[in-house]
Amino acid sequence: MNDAGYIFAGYFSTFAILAGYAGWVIRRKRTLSRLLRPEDTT
Amino acid sequence: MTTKSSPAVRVLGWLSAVTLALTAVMALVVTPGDVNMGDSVRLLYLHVPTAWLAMYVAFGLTTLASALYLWKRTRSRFWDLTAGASAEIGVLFLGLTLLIGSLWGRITWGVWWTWDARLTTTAVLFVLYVGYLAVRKVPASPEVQSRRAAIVAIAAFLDVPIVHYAVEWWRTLHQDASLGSPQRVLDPQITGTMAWTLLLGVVAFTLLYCWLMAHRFRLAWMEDRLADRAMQIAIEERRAEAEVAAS
Repeated sequence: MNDAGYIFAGYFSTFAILAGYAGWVIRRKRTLSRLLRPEDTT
Repeated sequence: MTTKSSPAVRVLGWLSAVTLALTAVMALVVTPGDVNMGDSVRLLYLHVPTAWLAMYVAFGLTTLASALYLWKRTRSRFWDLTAGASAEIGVLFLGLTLLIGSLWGRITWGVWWTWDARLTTTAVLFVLYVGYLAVRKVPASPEVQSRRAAIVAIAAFLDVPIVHYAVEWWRTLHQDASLGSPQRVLDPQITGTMAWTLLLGVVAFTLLYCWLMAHRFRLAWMEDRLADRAMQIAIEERRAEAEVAAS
């Protein structure tokens, strides 16, 4: 494959950025769920 | 509404992970290189779906939800939170579109960036929606904040048709649509495994968008509830202080 470095950099950075964002959202959601009262979560 | 994911959202997450992995395998291993572009075409299996998702789906939903918020009969926090969540994911996808496009440009044109009409209008769109997210954070009462943000979202969406038609209105380096216009549907520029891989990429990123939206919306709703609670506590503290001062 020609230009493999650019192509793999594109795939790696895309999946890394998406995984990082998804991880941030889920972690923050878990943190906030501990701060909310039970009646606020339903 | 609960803070835990429903089984449907969990299934959506797994489906998006599997289809994304399949897209990567198809794009990097199964599909052939393009006659003109060579192997750089493999980047387009990410570039096209992320652009489509950001511009038409994510920013489209932001605009629709903002309009529904501004309309008095449908005004609710639900639409404002939906608009904000979708715009944030749209900015993420559009940022990826610009990043992958830049890598593709480096291989094909020999430069990371050029002030081509399609690229420039897309960069403007990115900045407009980053601005929208910033406007959502400008301190004001929740109603003013939401109304202000809704107006900015609708104004920002005016750039989407300009981005779409930039390749037709101006002479650009960027190639025109391979599938997205009526004449291209009848005479596609991409066929066989390449077309199926592109379609799979669109499906995979759409599933991912839906999964991210489910989580991001729930997070926005929780942040909203916490802000309400903080406000109630502050009001109760002020009342208590006033009562102490009066007695």
